[in-house]
Amino acid sequence: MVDTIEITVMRYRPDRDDAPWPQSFTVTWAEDMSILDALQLIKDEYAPELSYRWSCRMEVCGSCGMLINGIPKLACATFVREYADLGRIRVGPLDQMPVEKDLIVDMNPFIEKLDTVTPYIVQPRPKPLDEGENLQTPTELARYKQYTMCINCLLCYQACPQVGLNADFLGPAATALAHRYNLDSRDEGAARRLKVMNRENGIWPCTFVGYCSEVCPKHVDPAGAIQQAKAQAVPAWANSLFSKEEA
Amino acid sequence: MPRKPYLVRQSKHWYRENPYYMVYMLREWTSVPVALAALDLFWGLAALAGPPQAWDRWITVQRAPIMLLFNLIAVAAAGFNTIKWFAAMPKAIRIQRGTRFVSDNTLITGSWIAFAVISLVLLVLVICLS
Repeated sequence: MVDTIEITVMRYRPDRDDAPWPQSFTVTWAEDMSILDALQLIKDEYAPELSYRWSCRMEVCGSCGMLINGIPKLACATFVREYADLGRIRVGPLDQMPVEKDLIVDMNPFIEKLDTVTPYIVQPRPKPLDEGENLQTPTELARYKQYTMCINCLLCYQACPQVGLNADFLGPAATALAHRYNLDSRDEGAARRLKVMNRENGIWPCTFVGYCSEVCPKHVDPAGAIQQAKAQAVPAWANSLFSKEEA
Repeated sequence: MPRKPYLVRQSKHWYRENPYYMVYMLREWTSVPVALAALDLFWGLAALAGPPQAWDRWITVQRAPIMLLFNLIAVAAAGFNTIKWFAAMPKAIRIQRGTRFVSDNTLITGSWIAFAVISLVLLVLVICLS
């Protein structure tokens, strides 16, 4: 018996379309076929112009984030068989970001937000190389390791209704990365980051919906990072009231 | 080819589109009956500090079936909110022991035990003072 399933893909061709529109394909599927494999089949057999991002095919690169039946998922880690009983799959772009073409979105708004939180180790007076490494114990590593697992797939931004209400909100992944460096024993940039996080569109638009952590494929728990960052940000703000430095 | 990014606006009814969002909205809406119940209690405190007639009026209002129903809803709302916040609490509070963290279950169970102990102490105080 040959199993087929209807896959509807949201198409948007900026040179021809005014708005995204659904295009359906009937695809023969197998047990080991991921949604990414199915899209590749559609591109090879039916719609060569279909555009989407992909790279590693193994939940590492974070390129193939999409809306699959309305849920933000990685196409490489989601299988057609999961929808066999339903009989149809609807694939769309992560449309909390501007849609560039078909399933490809503009990631620049996220990259710009990430850039504001200094996502690297800050050392005002770096140790000279001849003084050796910056040592770190396993306990110090464990403190932030979970937040290093982020692959910037942006599923969390799609899951966050506050991003939908306020596109300027710093958002889950950028905060998780900021928190990762704030927890790093080698870093001295927390004050600088918390200043950004304490802005009106920093961490405070978060109302702890928590769905960002639910959809995170790497179990980074950005919702947790934001709540912990809030606990750090309040004393930082209070200190700034008595400091000569601007809050 | 010039870029023409398409901006999708989030639906005004986004909270109806996913069961997770619905539970979240329910959690947030529990604040309304709880806030109203708190106002009712403040009214009771003010009545207690006022003349005896004010206190009698407050007691009469509390005995109305609609107030009984309202207070039941407020207790259920507070209970639901407590369940959801205790479940979410391990995200906000991480207790590190060496290279590991205290498990979510331990933190949630500890919260319920603390809640039960504090409630019991308050109950005993109220009974002893009345």
